[in-house]
Amino acid sequence: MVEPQRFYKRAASDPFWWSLFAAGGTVAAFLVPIHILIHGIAAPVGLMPESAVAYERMRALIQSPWVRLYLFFLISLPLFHWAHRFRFLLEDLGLHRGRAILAVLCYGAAVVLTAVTIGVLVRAG
Amino acid sequence: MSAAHRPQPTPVYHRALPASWWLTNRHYFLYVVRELTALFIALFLLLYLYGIVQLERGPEAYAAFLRLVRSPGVILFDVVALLLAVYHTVTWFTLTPRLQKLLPAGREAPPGAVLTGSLVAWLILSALIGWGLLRG
Repeated sequence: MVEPQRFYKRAASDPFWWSLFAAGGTVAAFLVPIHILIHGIAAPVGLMPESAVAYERMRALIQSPWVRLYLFFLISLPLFHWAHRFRFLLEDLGLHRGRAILAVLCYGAAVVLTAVTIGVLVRAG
Repeated sequence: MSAAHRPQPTPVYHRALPASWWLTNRHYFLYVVRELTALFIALFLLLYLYGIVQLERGPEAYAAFLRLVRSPGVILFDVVALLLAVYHTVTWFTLTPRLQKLLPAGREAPPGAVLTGSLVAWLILSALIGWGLLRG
């Protein structure tokens, strides 16, 4: 029997990246909108008292290891979700030639930015 | 059969697609928008991370960060990012029940119930996080 030729050949590492994609998509779906609403819009336009984002308050908040652990998952996992979607989106939009390089660049960026996030959060303690 | 006599794989014909294929149809367009939500979410989180960096650098750096997020351009970005993030949330919850193909037939939860349940859980979680960020 002749196997139909796949346009996209599966790599052994696919399940690994796909798991991070799914975890990141779930974190982004449940947790991200409220952060954009409060810290991206409500506080900057003045819908909240100035004290809500005061330096001392935020400083105290980030001292908690639980808050930093939460921020690690909040920031890192959606980066892998981005990497996965962006990679295939660029392919769909016509970037077929550099597919391997594209995958390395996207997932690599997520890995590097995760390392940066860890560094920032460890120093914040 | 030696390798030299192995039949060549049949060449596959790929129809050339114009770069604007995603603008030709509402579903294609919404697909691209859905995929782009991830980019805006990631950019917002990097801005968030930058805020943490500025917080560590001290009160002056943090004040500069607050001025940055109060600028009209950044607020406009955040409004777009929020709309796209909510679009991601709804499409993600619509997608989840489709993963139930792994369950035996007849054991799947109805997609409508999964969507409603997820939305309720999302609102409760958002309220809890909002309370955590703003209490005191």
